[in-house]
Amino acid sequence: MLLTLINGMTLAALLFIIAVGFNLSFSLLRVANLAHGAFYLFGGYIGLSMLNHLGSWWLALVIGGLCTAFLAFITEFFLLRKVRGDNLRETLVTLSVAIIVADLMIVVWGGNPKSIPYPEVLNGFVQLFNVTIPKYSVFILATSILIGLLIWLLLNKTKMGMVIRAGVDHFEMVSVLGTNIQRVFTGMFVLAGFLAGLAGVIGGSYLMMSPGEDWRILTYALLIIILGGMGSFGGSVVAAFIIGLIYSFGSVHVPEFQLFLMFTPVALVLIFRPKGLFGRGLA
Amino acid sequence: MKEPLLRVKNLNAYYDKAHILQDVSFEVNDLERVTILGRNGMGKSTLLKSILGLQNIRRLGDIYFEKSNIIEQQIHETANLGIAYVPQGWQLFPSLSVDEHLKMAYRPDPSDHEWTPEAVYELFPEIKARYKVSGTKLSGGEQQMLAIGRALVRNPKLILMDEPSEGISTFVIERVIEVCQELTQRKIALLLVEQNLNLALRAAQKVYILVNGRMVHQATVEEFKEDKESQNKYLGV
Repeated sequence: MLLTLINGMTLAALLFIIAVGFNLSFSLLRVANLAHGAFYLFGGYIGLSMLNHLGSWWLALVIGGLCTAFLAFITEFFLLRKVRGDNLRETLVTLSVAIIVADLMIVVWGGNPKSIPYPEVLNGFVQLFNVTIPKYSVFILATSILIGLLIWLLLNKTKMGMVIRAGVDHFEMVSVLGTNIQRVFTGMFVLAGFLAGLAGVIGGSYLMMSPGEDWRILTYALLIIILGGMGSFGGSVVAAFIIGLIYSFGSVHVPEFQLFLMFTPVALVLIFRPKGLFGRGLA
Repeated sequence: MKEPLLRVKNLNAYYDKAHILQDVSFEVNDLERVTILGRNGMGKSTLLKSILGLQNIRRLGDIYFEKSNIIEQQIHETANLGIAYVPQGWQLFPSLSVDEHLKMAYRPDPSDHEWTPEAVYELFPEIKARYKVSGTKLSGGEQQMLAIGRALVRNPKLILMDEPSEGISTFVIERVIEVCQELTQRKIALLLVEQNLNLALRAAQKVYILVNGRMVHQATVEEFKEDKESQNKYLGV
């Protein structure tokens, strides 16, 4: 029971890192980046290769994030920008990137499931309030809290954060106030990519990496956005926990209904609160 | 003779295939307050949006702002040359507090006529009292004040104002007129689009009339006030 709870919270923390940037870039650029799952897996595979070459998991984590950020930059700057404002084409561009990257990953890293070994220091367990918790779970939770805190500070305590929040509301009015909103778009997309890459390395050490994992992660991220509400930071936190806990408890107690249990709250939210639990919806 | 601050020459604007503005030409001089009048649907709002390049309106022609042609420029470039905008319906940000609106928009200008957020609060004490409230949770009049304040702290050379009388009380309309009249002393020119003839004629010095996307008449405010025939012909008053 307790272990299931901890597993659920760990997964929730991982999903939060994936979804929070995704949600912000979604609500700012108005593009559902269907390549986000591919970005996650790409980060993980890069991390694995880096670990094999350099021998440092920490370095692999950073490089995995940076390489994915660069992939996101290329996607936004050279592709998405050309079709800005045309929703169907924007979505198709991200879908194409997702498929191309997924195929390239099979070419480079093959189709067999892989996993990144975690660093020595995160191996083993800690005792916390008489509960034995895997160190790696503590690490994922702490990392997601740190990332959440940094993003919260960025959004609420900096001028850039005001620009981002205002851009989610009315991006054209932000340009009228003299800000180059295209650059803000690129920056947010790259940040979301960086976080996806980080999450890929962290997740690749916690879960398995294999073809198809990209779509699974994308689906969970989309569930979190729909459940929590587009553009809502708090919504991403709450929804990530709901999805993570349902997944974890579902897979232990009613594995045959696991997906059903995850999609049901989302369907209910869509029926009764279409803007999500904490969303305001877009203008 | 000195170049005008804003010179629009043969401007044509299109929403998709609809040809909204047809060969529109007019000028706003330094520190001048100009109003564009016309009935509903004549293209007045489109004219202001076309100057900034909003909403993907397709534009042909020339728009000179202090000698540089801004028609090809991006919105933020035009804005940073010194044009601010008070849109119809205010377009405030639900996610930002009153104070954040002013802080985000504030562009310092080292001069004795600088508008700071504090100066805006002095001008509109009503919104100072509500500085932590979300911009869109204010009353209509307060939202108008904030929208004007947001334009002022840009310290622009020209403010484009779209239907400021809409959705606010007569008391706030008086305040808006006062602010407009004061702009000249604060070294800001005004281009005002308005249905409310009383507001427009008291706030501005020069009048243009737009009918079906064409500029059909130009006069000083004094001339136009006397010219009941034109008022009746173009505006139906």
